[in-house]
Amino acid sequence: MGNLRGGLNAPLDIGTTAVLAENKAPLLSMDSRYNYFMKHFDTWKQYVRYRLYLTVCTVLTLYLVFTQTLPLVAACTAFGATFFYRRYQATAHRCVGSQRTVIIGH
Amino acid sequence: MTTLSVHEYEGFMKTRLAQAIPKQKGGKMGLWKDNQKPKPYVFVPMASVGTMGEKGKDGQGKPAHVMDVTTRSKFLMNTLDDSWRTGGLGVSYRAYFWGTIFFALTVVSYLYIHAYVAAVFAFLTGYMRSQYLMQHAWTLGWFKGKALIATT
Repeated sequence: MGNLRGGLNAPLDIGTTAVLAENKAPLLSMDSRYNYFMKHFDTWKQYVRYRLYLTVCTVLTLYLVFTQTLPLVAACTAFGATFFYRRYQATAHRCVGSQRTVIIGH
Repeated sequence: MTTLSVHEYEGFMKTRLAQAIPKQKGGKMGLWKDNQKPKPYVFVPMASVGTMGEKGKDGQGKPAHVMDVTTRSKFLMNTLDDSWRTGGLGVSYRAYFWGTIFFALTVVSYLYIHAYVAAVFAFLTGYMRSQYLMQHAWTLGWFKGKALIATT
């Protein structure tokens, strides 16, 4: 919560309060540990798969480029490497890299 | 120390909510609305080890372990731990892999080497099968009813 120009922070407070009041879903939700894990388990599996595809595409690209064989396939694997790298980043950010707070009751 | 089990607490909350709702004509209780349902609760143990106010060997009081505040990353990595010593769902995967190999070795050694050698691999197959089941049970099954609070 910062100050506006002139030292007034009331409009900012009102804005924040309005956002909180108009939020349709609760900011914190309680579920079971099992359900929460299963919710993010698929993301983790995608993360592992994309990492594998990324490795395979990168190795294939390097091999095809350095041996100068099948240039069209090399272009395709290079595209795959960059594509899967972005997917890998996105899924990693959602599961193993996520710093979202989790409170475990017991 | 007076303790209240979760079932008693649930009944307590239901009673309180029932008292809060005015009765309609004929003595029947009014229809329950969604916002009048009992709120979900978190069991917060005040002392997870020993009794409240217990002191350790150094004479200092132990802090009450009420809840873990962690991150999604740490929670997932802890659940998917693949260390044989600490245990986790990752161990289930490893045990499944080695169990398959040991089962194949059991069959092969029984057919081509000796039954006593096959017995060793059969023991290892059973051990891996038990690891697979146990890790799954203690990592996932045990936490089916345990509460977790997270940001939406």
